[in-house]
Amino acid sequence: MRWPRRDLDAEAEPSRISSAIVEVVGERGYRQTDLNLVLARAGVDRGTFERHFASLEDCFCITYQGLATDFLAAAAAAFAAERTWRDRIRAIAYTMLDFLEAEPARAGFLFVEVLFAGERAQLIREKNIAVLYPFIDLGREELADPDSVPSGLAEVIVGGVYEGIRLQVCRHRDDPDAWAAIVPQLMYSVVEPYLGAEAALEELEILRPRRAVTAVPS
Amino acid sequence: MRALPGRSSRTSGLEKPARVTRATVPGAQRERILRAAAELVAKRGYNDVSVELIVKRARVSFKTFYARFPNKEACFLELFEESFTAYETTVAEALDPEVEWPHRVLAALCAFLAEVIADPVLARACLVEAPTAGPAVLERYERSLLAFAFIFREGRSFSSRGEELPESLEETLAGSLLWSVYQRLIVGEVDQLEALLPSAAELVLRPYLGEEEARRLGAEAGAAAVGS
Repeated sequence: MRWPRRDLDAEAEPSRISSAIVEVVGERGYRQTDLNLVLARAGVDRGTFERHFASLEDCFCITYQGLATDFLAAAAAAFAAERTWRDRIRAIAYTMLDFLEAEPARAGFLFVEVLFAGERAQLIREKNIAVLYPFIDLGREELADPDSVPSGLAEVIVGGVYEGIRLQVCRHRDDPDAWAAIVPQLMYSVVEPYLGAEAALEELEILRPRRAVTAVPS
Repeated sequence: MRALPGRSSRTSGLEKPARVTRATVPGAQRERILRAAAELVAKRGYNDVSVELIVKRARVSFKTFYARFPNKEACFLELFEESFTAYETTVAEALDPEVEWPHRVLAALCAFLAEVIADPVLARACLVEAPTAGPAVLERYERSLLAFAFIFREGRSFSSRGEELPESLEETLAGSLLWSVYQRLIVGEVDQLEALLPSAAELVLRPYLGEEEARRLGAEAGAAAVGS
């Protein structure tokens, strides 16, 4: 799935509608989003919308999954491009940042508004968060005895990191420049349980790569 | 749609009989309405709960409901405000100022998990569904999360590198704690919640006390909980 471009004529209708719902929900919040606002932003009529989506909620869920799929593909590529586990996780973290900064409305859409979008959206959210567990769990392979750390730790760490990102987005929703500051801090929380305090503190000093580790969908 | 098997547990394992109250007493009616709201939101999710369902389950009239709450949102805001305050009070009461910080944290975690286990329906309402109930309730949920973060933060004085620790560390730790409870609640594993105590304690204490001491205290807390 491709995401926002301004050449409306060249864009496929579902993609244009998805771009519109991300923008409108990002600006107004899901509960204040009326289907007519999305239609107007996408420049389509209701009939066109209904050829692709059953409802506003359906549109939200399909769009959310499309964004998550795009991000996870970019994250997997970024992970594969690095050699050590730490570098790989950091590459995922900055891929996430690149992905959100490429279209700042995505942050509110993915981390805040999804909470208000109904039961199906929660299922999709939980499923996609769980995709990240194995990346973190590979940290155990860095240990002399991988079994000294429970595999369930990855789930707990991802939950904390997710909450950390959400709080940062909530506090600085209109200031994407402020989002980057959280990345080294969250890297600390990921690295510390596997590699110890020294390695975790080093993360606080590591600067953001100049360019995206891997190109993100924009 | 039930894509994840876990969420299907909404309808099982969390049922708890509503408290027996006298419908004729206004306070009891209010309590019944809030209890019905909690049970319904735990079972169906926030968006699928209506005032009609609440009044039916609480066995009160629409008139009684609207005499106390202007709408569904206000009812849930009151439910969650009251419930989160109760959790915070339980945790605060467990914090004995005469006890050193690591054991205070263990007591706080133990008290919190005991409260969750005592009423998993309310816990599911507050820790799983509340954040989905709109921005005002999400903000209230975050205040509870930050209350935990505040308790953890004192651990910095126990670490020789406390000043170097990242600013957001305690929020991440609190997020991890609540996420592990969330995961057990959505799959209906209420009986697994007590087993969370040693790992939760280790997770929270480790950045300040180091792996060995945190693990020792976590095991100690787990053994004490089992023995109590």
